[in-house]
Amino acid sequence: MKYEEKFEMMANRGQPIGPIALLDRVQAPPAAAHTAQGRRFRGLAVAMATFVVVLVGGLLLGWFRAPLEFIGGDDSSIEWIEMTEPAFVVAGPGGLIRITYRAESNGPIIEFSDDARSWAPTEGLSFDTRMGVREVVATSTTWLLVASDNTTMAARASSDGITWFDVVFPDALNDAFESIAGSPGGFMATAYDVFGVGSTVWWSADGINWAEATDTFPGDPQAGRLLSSEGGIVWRSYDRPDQSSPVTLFMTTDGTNWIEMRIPSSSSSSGVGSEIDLQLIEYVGNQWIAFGQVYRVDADPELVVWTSPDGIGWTSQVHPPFGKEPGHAVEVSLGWLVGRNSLVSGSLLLAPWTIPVSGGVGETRRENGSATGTGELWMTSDGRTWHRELNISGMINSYAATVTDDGSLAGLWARVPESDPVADAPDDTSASVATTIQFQPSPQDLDPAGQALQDAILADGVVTREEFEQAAEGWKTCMQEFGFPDADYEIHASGGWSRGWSTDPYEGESEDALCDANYVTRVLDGVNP
Amino acid sequence: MVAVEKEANILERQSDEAIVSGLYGELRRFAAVVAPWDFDPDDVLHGVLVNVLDKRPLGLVEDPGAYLRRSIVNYVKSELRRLRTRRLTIDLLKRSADPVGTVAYPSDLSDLMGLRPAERAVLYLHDVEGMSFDEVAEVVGITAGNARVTASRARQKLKDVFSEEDHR
Repeated sequence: MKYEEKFEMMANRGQPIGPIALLDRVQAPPAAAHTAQGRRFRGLAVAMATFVVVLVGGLLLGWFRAPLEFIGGDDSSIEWIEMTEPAFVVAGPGGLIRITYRAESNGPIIEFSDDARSWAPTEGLSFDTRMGVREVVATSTTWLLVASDNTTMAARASSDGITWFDVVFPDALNDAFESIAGSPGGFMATAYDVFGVGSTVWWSADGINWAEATDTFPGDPQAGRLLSSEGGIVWRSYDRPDQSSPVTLFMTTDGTNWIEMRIPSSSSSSGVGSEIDLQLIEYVGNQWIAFGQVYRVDADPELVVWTSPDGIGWTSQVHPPFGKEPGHAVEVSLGWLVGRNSLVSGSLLLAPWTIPVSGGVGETRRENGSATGTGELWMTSDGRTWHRELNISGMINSYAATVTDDGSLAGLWARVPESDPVADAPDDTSASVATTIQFQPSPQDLDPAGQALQDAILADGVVTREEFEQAAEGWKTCMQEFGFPDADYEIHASGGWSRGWSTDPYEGESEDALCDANYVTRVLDGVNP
Repeated sequence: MVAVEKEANILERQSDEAIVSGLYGELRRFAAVVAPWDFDPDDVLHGVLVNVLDKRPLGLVEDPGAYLRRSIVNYVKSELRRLRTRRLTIDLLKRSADPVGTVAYPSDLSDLMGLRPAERAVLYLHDVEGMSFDEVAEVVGITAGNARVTASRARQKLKDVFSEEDHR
């Protein structure tokens, strides 16, 4: 079959609902506005659930946390134990919960351990076979687990991780779980009505007794996601009513009063037209640390770390020491942070995941579903100084750390079975030192003239459009000298740029990377359109 | 004042209806091509229209067809970013539990689904819809030169896949 015919097959898939029904959904009266948007989100959720029904527990990844009150031990004494099978691991009161899926099992297997080695079955966590575990969160005293099949929801709580009991959300008859989070002050959950009459938000100080908190919620619950943190529950909205901030965040410690956490464009390297995909936010050492992938117009995405003492005033620090492998950055883009743990010393532990990708400059390269990646474990207490705890050649599926019976810390991690782990010696490094190389060329390959031009442009701390054009012209000339006479570029009003040089696939990418590093890379970081 | 606003709203709605009705078929086809297989095309259109109409009525847009197509591409890319952690996580676990794996879309389309949304958009608009690269560039929000490069790379990828299939 020709690919044109395949496109026709794709284009005609599904049963169209027609323009009138579509507009009815879009332009529903305000009271049903949640319904319209909810259908959209629900449509995606249902599609994903269809994609793989029994593995919904995978949604845990990236949102688990370890809000333990550690007694004894310290971060440097963590003993890492590799799990024998891929699993999601959550640390909470008394130990660890792991969730695994096995080919022979009919649904998730949920087990508890207080030493990270031996695992015991849990009681009270059986669900209807259609339901999958959606999330597990914990405070220092309570575990909370939520399961859903996109039409109904069920929740269980536990104080010891072994014996679980039903939790009732008031008036949740037709609600399906949307998002849940925990913080030292309590838990919050959001759900949508399966018949499309809006959303409901609940708050609980203890994870057991819940009350509705919809009226004080700062936006449409279905247009965002709750995030757990030690400083409070954060709601990350995908709506951006205020375009001056590239991400919309609100935080509460009591379920009623919210403060807006405004990360302004000016505090990042993002600039106008950027968008931040917030990946993690945590409260560590009396400050907020946020990690986000910044997408700019016609530039590679980059990971940026922001810190704030109060959640209101933020400073940014770009380029943490992971995600950009020197000499391979053109072929390797940052993946995402697998998880986090706040440890006894107030450090933040996280596992950035670097994946190989394909695609041209400026394209979103991470949409390479078949790519496998490598994981590392890094620790920081301030977002600036980083310590590499363990380097693993393979995917870190999840990890957690907890206190064992003898008061020492134990951690464990899981990975995909076909990759072999390679443990390196711990390595201290500074973010500013480790991330000076962003592109494929090594420093000795760079042209001193191009570097001098960038130095001159950046000397006064401001990059004008004319100066950016000079840099871009340098890139163009460089490409032409490499034998690409058609090389040309276009500078956008947003401050980004796009460029092309050949109609032949993949030809010229390494030359482009070199010319870009020679003339543009550092200027673009400081661009001020 | 209220009556005037109501009248304006009715006119806007009528204008939006006329534009969406006229473009619905081609926009839905485009959404079906650009979006991953597990995205319902009407849900994609829904999401796009919610975003677009929240800002302005379509009657105020100079070229609603191009504008909405570009919005579809951006919307799909944005949704993929939001979902990627979940998606890959699920993929990982699925591969762990089921080494053989399952195909979520017809195997005939696996080569097209291996392309990125922007690549499918460029190739579809140029090779199927017959747009010029200048028009494609306008829709996708890139330069005409980059559209050519993107189309060329996408064709090469498909060619590579076909070559692999031929060798099996």
